[in-house]
Amino acid sequence: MKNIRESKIAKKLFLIMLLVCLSSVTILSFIQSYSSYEDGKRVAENYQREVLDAIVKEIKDHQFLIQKLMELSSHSRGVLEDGINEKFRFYLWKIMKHQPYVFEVVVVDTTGREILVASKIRTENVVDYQDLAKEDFFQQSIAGKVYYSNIRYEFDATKPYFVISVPVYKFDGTINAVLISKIWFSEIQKSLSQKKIGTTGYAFILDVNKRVIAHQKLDVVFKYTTAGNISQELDSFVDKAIKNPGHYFQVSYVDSENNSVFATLKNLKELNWIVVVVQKKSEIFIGTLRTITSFLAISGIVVLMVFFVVRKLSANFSLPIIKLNDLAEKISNGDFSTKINIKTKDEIEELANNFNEMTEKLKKSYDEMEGKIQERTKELLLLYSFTSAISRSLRVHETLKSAGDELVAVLELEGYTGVLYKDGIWDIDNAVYGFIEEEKYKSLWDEVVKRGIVLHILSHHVPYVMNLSVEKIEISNGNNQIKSIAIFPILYQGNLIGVMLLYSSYENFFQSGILSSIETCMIQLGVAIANAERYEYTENLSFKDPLTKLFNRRYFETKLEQEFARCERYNRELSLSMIDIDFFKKINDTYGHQVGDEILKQLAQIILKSIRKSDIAGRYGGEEFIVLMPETSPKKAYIALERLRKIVEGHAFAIDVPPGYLHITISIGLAGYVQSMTKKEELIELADKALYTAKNSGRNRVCL
Amino acid sequence: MAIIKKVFLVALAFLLICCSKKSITDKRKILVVMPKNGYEEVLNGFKEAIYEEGMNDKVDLIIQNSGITKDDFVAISKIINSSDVDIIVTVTTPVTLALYENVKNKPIVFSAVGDPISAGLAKDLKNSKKNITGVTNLSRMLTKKRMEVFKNAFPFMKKIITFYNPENVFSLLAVKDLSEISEKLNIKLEKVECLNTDNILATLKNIKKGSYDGVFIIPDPVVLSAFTDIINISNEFSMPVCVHEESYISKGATISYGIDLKEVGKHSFALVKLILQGSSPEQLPIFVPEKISLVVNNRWAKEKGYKVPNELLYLADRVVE
Repeated sequence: MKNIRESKIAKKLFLIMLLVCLSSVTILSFIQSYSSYEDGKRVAENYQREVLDAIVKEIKDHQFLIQKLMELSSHSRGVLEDGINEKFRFYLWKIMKHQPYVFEVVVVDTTGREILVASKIRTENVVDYQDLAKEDFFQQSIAGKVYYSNIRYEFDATKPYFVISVPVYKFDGTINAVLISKIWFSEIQKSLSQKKIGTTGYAFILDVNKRVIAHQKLDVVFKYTTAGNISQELDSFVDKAIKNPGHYFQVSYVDSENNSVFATLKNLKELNWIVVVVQKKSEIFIGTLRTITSFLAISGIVVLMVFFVVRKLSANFSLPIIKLNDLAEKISNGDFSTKINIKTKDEIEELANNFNEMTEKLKKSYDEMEGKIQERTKELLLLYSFTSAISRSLRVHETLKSAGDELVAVLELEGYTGVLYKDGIWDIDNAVYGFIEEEKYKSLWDEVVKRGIVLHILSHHVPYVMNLSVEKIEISNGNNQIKSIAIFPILYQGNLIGVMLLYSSYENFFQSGILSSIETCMIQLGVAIANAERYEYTENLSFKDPLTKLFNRRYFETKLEQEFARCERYNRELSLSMIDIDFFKKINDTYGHQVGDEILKQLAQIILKSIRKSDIAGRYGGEEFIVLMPETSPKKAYIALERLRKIVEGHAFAIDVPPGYLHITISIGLAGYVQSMTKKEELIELADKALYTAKNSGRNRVCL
Repeated sequence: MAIIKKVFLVALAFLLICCSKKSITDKRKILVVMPKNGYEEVLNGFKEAIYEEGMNDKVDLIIQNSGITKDDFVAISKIINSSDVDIIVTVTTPVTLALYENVKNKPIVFSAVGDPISAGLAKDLKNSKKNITGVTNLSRMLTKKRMEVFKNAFPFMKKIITFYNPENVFSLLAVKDLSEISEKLNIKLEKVECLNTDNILATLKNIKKGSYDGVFIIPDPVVLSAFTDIINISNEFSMPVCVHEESYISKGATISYGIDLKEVGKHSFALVKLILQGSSPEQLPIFVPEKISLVVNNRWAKEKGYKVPNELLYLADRVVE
């Protein structure tokens, strides 16, 4: 059984689903990332503008407050009307008190000279009054304007400050003096550092010389820090901002700490300060980052989900297919016993059921085929064993017996009977039978004859099957009851030469299959019997005299030689006698040769009957017979031969011519084996001499 | 399962790489060398800044009493030369000068140096010298202004006394400024030279009631070591004492005008931090804090029957009642 992991379908399914899911996730994430990137950028732009505006507003509010304080002070009753006024200094100090980052407030007269100083650093009473006539803030304010100066530096140019100047009016509305406040820029720095811009954001302020004058992240502002030092991109945008006051600019750059940042900048019109609000890109695009992170997470989940879904799907689709495949493999290997069990409640289940059905049908037809093959094999085997069995013998009866025995053995029959048919006669007395008692087969044969089956077979040459229960015949054979009989014709060249009766203890045993195979055997049997008959006939022709049916001289001499040799080797007794009919020539002449032949025939029968079975009788010449008697002394032979002579003497030979009978006598010469004999011819010669003696001494006698 | 393990390993490796970037550096050793008395606020401001920056677990702060004599400073310099401190913070001009002269190859951040340029620690505020930068408290620049404020608060003063250390450059410069302004304000100034605490104590013994209308303190380790004795005498003879820094008010001074030493301490740490982050001291200009505060001990004034003008009280950042 293949593992589901090795399933190619599962792999394909996994890849396809993974591809589909991941690509959809990727597309969605891409769209989401893009939109969140755009959103992030837009939000950051808006946010940075808001922050920038807030910073600008704060700065302006702060300066506006100082401006208002200054204006308030300058409008105090009677100030400067009567020249320098100690009380006025107090007002100036009040400005510093309320605004700690104002470190000096100075009153400048219309000529540009300081006339009153309130300072946290300079001494007031013993001040060295300075001439500010050439300063831009003085010139602007003396013309009636409120003026905010550019950044200036105190303390060896390390501390930035700026100046707000307002005109001081007399009661008649003319400008009497200019009020100047010097303000530490660190106030702005402080307000910047308190500003919270996102999580990574910060702000800084540049002057028109692109110098950083305030930085949220740095308490100390250094002379060298300029926009160009921070980034070239920023520097070029600062240039643009200087040229276009009041406009917002967005810029992306990498700052001096190697952070990728996104910034908004704006040039404040009145102050010529460039405020820059900066945020790290990682913060702005955190949404995008989150989308990407969630994409990775979702991708991971998708892979897991797809894995489990595919597992589940594979269990539904791939596994059944694997099972079906395995089953098909088993079937192809000839194993029909396995059944597939799939419960998916869909077409696959139907397919599996159909597959099971198909397997069953296949199994059935396979079994049928197998049965047929077995049957055919059995038939062939039967035929083979049958053929080899019947070819073992060349005797008719032996052949028939072998055939019956073989059929019983192979087909597990109860028994058989073979009956030969010759010259219109059923030779039931010489019937061959096996495994059944004689009277039983004879009674069965009677039944068969009685029912006209034998006649039926004779005329049609077809087998006949009889079920005894139907015919109501009850015959038992040993412990078994014979239930069915089949009678087969034995044919040769279209002629019936006999029948074979087969008995079985099974009902309906002789079905068409067996029947046809036995029929085939019977054809073989017909041929074998015909051959045996022919052999027997030929054998008789070569050993026996055709007239007298006694052994011919050639066979006799062979036998004599064998017996002679035996006597020689074992010193046994052997007698040989020669018999001659007295006056046979006269009989021939009187009654003709046919009578002579008849006499010879009948004499031969008498000789055969009167001698022992162990004795051998043969025709030696015309009217001469010869009898060999093994294990017999001449004395004993003499007695037997004498008896024979007497029988012949008293026997009336039937003849076809009148008087209808004839008496004859015979002369017999007898010789016994003597050890001195070296050749059989010597024995024959001796017997011949004895016969001659008998003839000469009056005939009808036995001479030794 | 094999895939899950791989993912975990990759994640772990990623985490380690991320962490290794932020590996914790060893604690940096900061040595603060300062006089025992008079400059606690610098240290407080310094410590406060460390906490505000969240660097309290990244630095080791070692406080070393400087002593008050030049010999003390030289002895300390020798110890520092053989130690492994990363950065030295000096408080007051004499300490800074002595260490700058004797300590080699270690960055120095000075604080509470009244005039670094005149003291020879820098060419100007923009450009500090090699291996040294710091925070000035503008003490010398504000000497004239302080004297003026002192006079405004106690206009009756005609004759005041001050002590100066001839071995302290700053002290000499300050006493020069003070002489100038006193003259302009029509105040007679008694300048007492003192090389050690005993000189001051001897002077104080000879002071009699009515000898002086006030005491002007020029910041110097030697002078400040006898601060308590000066206060005792001033209390005894109802002499207002003018100091450069607010914290002396609680120790008995009458009026202070100057830069908050706590601010000085805070800014010193800002510079220390920048140096620890890799800036070299000569790149960093000398820092000037701008927050100047006026504090008046009106309770003492009232006790002694003095009337401080209302305007001044109004303008003061803090009035002790």
